[in-house]
Amino acid sequence: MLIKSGKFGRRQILRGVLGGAAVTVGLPLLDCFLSEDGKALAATAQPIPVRFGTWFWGLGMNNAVFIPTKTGADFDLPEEIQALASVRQHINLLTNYRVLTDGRPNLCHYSGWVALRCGSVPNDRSDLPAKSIDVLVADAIGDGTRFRALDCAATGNPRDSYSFSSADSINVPEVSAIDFYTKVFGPDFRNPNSPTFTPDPKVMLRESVLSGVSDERAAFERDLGAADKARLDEYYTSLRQLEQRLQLQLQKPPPAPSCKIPAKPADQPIGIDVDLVQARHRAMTDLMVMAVACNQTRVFNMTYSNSGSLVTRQGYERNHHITTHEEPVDPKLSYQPDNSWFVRRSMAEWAYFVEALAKVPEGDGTLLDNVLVYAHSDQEFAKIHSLNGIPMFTAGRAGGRLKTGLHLDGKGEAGTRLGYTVQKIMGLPISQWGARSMTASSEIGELVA
Amino acid sequence: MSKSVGGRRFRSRALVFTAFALALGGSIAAGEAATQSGPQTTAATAAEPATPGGPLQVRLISTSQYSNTLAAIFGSDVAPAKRFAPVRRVEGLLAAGASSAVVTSGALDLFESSGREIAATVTDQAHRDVLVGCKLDAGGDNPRCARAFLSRVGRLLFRRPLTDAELDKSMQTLERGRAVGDFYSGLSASLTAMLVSPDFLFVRERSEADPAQPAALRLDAASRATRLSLLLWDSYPDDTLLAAAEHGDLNTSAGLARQVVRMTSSPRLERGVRAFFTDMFVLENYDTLAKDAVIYPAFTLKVASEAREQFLRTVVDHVIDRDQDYRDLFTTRRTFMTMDLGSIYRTAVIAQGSSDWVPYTFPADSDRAGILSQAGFLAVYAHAGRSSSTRRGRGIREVVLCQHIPDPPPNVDFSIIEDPHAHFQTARQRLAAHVTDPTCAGCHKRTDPVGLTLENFDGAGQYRSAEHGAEIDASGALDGGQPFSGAVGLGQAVHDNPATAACLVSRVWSYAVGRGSLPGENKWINYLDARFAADGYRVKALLRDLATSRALYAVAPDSSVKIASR
Amino acid sequence: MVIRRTLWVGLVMLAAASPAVATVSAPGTAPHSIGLAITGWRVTMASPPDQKVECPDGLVASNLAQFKAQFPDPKDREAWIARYASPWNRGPHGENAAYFPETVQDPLPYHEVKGAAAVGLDLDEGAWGQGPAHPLAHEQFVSPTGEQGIDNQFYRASGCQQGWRKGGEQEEDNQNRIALDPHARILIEIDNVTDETNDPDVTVTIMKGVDRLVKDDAGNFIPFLSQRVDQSLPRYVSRLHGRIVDGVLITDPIEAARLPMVNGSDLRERLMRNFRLKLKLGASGASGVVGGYEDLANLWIWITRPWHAVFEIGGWSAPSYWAALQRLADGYPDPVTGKATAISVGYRVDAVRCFIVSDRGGDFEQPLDVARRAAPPPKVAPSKVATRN
Repeated sequence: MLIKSGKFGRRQILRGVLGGAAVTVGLPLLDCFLSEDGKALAATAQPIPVRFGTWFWGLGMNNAVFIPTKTGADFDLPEEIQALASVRQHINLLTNYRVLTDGRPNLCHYSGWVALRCGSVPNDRSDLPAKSIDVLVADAIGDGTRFRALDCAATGNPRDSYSFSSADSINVPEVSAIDFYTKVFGPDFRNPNSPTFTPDPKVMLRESVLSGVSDERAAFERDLGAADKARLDEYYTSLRQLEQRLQLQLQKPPPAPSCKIPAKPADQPIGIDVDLVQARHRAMTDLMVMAVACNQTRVFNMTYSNSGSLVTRQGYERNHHITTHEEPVDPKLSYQPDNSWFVRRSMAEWAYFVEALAKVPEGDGTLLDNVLVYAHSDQEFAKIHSLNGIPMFTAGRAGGRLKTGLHLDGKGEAGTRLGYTVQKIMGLPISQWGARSMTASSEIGELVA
Repeated sequence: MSKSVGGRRFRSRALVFTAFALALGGSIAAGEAATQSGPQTTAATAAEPATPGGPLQVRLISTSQYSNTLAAIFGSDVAPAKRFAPVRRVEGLLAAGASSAVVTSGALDLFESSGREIAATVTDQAHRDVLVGCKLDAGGDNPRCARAFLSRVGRLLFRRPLTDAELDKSMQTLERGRAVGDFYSGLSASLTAMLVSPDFLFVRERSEADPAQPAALRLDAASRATRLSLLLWDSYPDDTLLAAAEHGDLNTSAGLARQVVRMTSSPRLERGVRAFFTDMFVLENYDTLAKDAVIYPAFTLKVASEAREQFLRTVVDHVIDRDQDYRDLFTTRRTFMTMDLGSIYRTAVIAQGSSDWVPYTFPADSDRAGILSQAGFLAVYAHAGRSSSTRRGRGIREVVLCQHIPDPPPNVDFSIIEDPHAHFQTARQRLAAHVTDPTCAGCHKRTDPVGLTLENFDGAGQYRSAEHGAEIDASGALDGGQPFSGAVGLGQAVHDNPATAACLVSRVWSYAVGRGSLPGENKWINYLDARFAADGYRVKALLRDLATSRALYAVAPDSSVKIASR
Repeated sequence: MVIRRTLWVGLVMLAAASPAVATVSAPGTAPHSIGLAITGWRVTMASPPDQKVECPDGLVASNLAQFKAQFPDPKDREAWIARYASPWNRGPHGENAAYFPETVQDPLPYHEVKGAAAVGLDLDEGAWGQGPAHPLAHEQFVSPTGEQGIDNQFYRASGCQQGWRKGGEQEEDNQNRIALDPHARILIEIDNVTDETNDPDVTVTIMKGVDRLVKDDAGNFIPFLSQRVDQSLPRYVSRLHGRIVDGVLITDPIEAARLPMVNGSDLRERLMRNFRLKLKLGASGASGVVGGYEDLANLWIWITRPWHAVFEIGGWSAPSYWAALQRLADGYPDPVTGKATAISVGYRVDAVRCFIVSDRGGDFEQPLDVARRAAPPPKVAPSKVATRN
């Protein structure tokens, strides 16, 4: 029943539906519904696919009130992560994992997250040495849906992205809830639960337009220098990927029982006040979660606050970043109270994100059961830009492959062990991930179900 | 002093250009006279030093180039308000980053949806008669007209005539589209294909044999025209320029000069100048500029956007309309105001309603003069709820003077300013620790003394004489120049600093060629510095000199791209 | 250093390239101006006492209630409506009760304010029958800050109507109009100020503006916007003399001041007699009380047009309201009938600092009513055609 996509060309489809008559096209599955090793199957009668997401917040934590005293299950929730009480059973918290720079400079609010995103410590601020983890996963599972991946930044800044193939190839996030809504649920949206399905001739036309452009590739790339050719290769790859996703839309999509078209959100003004960021984050999260539930994407990335978070608090002169540097550690409390205020807000948003996924029913459980979210920050203790112990989380059960509810102490191991573990759980056929001292080749056993 | 490559070059250039100016005085004067009255003389061109030429670029179209080009072809109501994926800033410019930018999957989605929307608008009922102008036959078709339309538009989008094979392909796309809808949906499909094509999205430069020098290469006509048009108009070449290029006119100094005069006299020059200054002065910062609503309630989003426009209007008025010395941008009291900006500047503004712009001159005894004292600059290089001398100082160093300030080290000791009993009132007090602590001093000595002279302006650019009750001391000095106090003094110091003009020249060059300058171009850059000085530091003259130079179109002989063979 | 806007004298020639520059200067400096734009205009107190204190007998009956009392039988009401179209048309021949209030006797009793406090000023200093207003004797209020002898018969007459209480329709609509509608923009320029805390001699000019005001995110008005004067309507220019005492501007009264207003969606105006201001000046605004005797005929026009057209706005009935106003009015008695033609009123006002500017040079146009007063009425031959009233 599995047919390679090439054989079922647009000509056949065009002949079949010319004139726009409604036809119930019972098409077989295309192999793009498979992951590379064929183990994970999408669609109707098969196991529900696991989706992959990332979440990012800036400026880490205050150890004294963030890190639980217990490890393992039923870990305690100190003040700074009190907000996670309702989602503790869905998440894992990983502390005391290191980013080892092998002598490269610790670039403030940069080296940490770059290493945790792509496995490799950067040389300088214009360096992104490898593909980010979400791009690796999207390469494996992203081509079976309308969007390869969806990215949002609640800060409202289109440069706040932690998803990239290289320094010149950074995926740009949506920064407005309304634009995000229009992109996913606007005029090009096809409801997967529609009782009838008509391959849209307009989609066929779009695909045909793109393949016409692809046809000229050899001619255009002739005589290009190596570097420019690589750049154009990426353009043509993007083109082909869009073509494939359009071809997919000519097939009756698998039903998505939890898919409910959301209401159009109100837009918010620009600004980095924490209340605005929260409003944007929640509006975008609600849309993102429904986009996943409606099978519009299998990979999704959310930035709550950027690295070196510039989030502000009304009436308060210093933004989060400045606060981490200028605020003294209160000797009685052993942490920075104003900084902690921002961290607590961040954790409240992490809880919202996780809960939003948990609210969507799917199969016998929830969407969150079939999701794996990888989350982390840019520093451990922002005041001194420390890289050791950058807090990381997972959320979701990855279709039963990931244990949850645990606090793990990394004992100084490389933080890439989590990224490696997560990719293995997603079914990527890798034997290691990362570079130099950040190379990870063994999964964190306690997490694997 | 900075050890960066840029810094070294500027210092030596500052000395060298004076010598050049003297040496070339005669021919430059002649050239200048010619420039002022018309085309460049051969004498001035002959004085131009040879350059090794650069690589052929493949530049990704920018958001503004995209909309300017389409607006020029189809009218401004057709061009999208979208913003495409931001590119990396290289050598301080997005124009240079465009030469290494790629089109990710998400970025392509944007181009495709944008192209579809534009094509749909061009062919819709409201626009088709004017923009397409095809009368359909009884069968609802007109292939000849469609082909002519696609040929005309395609040439403007791809900057070269389309081949028959390409037009045939376009017509096939049209037929497929017609099968799904009608003539116009077919035309829309063909147009979409062009708008998504790499021939449109990328400016791919090509070279050809130079007939004057057998072994050498030169940029081909289309590439010349595009470099010129992107520099002066931030847009792809118009029909006149393309025709001149196709005719070989851009290969003669007279023909090239004619086009340059046309383009620098055109109102479209304003777009080009705006685009350059938007890039050089990092105006993308305004896209996310917002102030704390409690601390700076008067700095609304409307004010933020007007502050950006105020800067650009000041620049356009100064360098285009009145053709003045670039350095005087930092001392000029002339600007433009709206009523709402008036509330930030605490000044009466007599305008015709809340969207009206009026010319405005700060009085002679004002604390403000020059663009560095404008609310926009002051607010962008500040925090949401507080001013920032470090950011302002860094902004001036990096943006205005092209001097690199390294990153702060990770393990900074903040204990001095953290002392809860310290009660620092002013920024100067807070930052004093930075300038004395050896780990911090290296960079902060270069940024803070400059930025502290602007402390009379809070984080929203509003004037104040005191901070938290303490009188503000706005004294400072810039790189060994005369000490001064306040924004007016700072503006004068920046005006007098040789790095200011040198930085502009460097940026204009990089902007024009889409890359940083190469080592073999030092003589050329020095020459350009000298010409700029001899021209009275006028930006229009600089653009003309650049546009009519050999260097702008020089191609490296060993460039890996072979001769164009279309 | 400030350049004055000398509108009244008409000397200013404003070239487009050299607009005014104004800065807030310290006291004891060269004379400068303070510009204010009114942002708040309320008859109610900021913290009013309980309704039971002010209106122990309840709120005034609405027109509909009066109509029902006038025609207790629903069938009669139906018939009346069938004949005269609306409950507002309650005169014996279906006259509109707002336009012909004396043709209707409201059956239900009217309620005046019985509380002791009200916003306002001591307009008459207890000198009944003296001064330009010749005030009739009446009960006086105490201000919310304890000042005695407050004259606000308008509030006494209106304060037990729902619409004139805090949050009521008339009160809120007037407030919104003043704040948001340029047609109701009132500008106040205080000139010749040398000391913003104590200055024995300042001049105050009230004018109409044309520009909008802007609120920040917290709902506060942004200060130091520029506000153009409406030079096409010199009837709204009033000049007063005043002084500043401990930061409070106190003006002498002006005999007649017209102020622009928008009521509902209609452009109206107030005619204030013996009008004066008392405003506490601040760095970015001012607040205080303005008061005087509001011309009754003019007031009745803006109160009833267009309110009559919208049933039950503000819970009142015109006939008993008119009777109450007549009964309680205390100023400018008609020399023949002895009935007051104006009623004392006080308004709680807020203002934001602004730059008052002019976008045209030169003098005002001649005010229309001055021209009319100056010229004798045209002689018209008596017409033989019967005229209709």
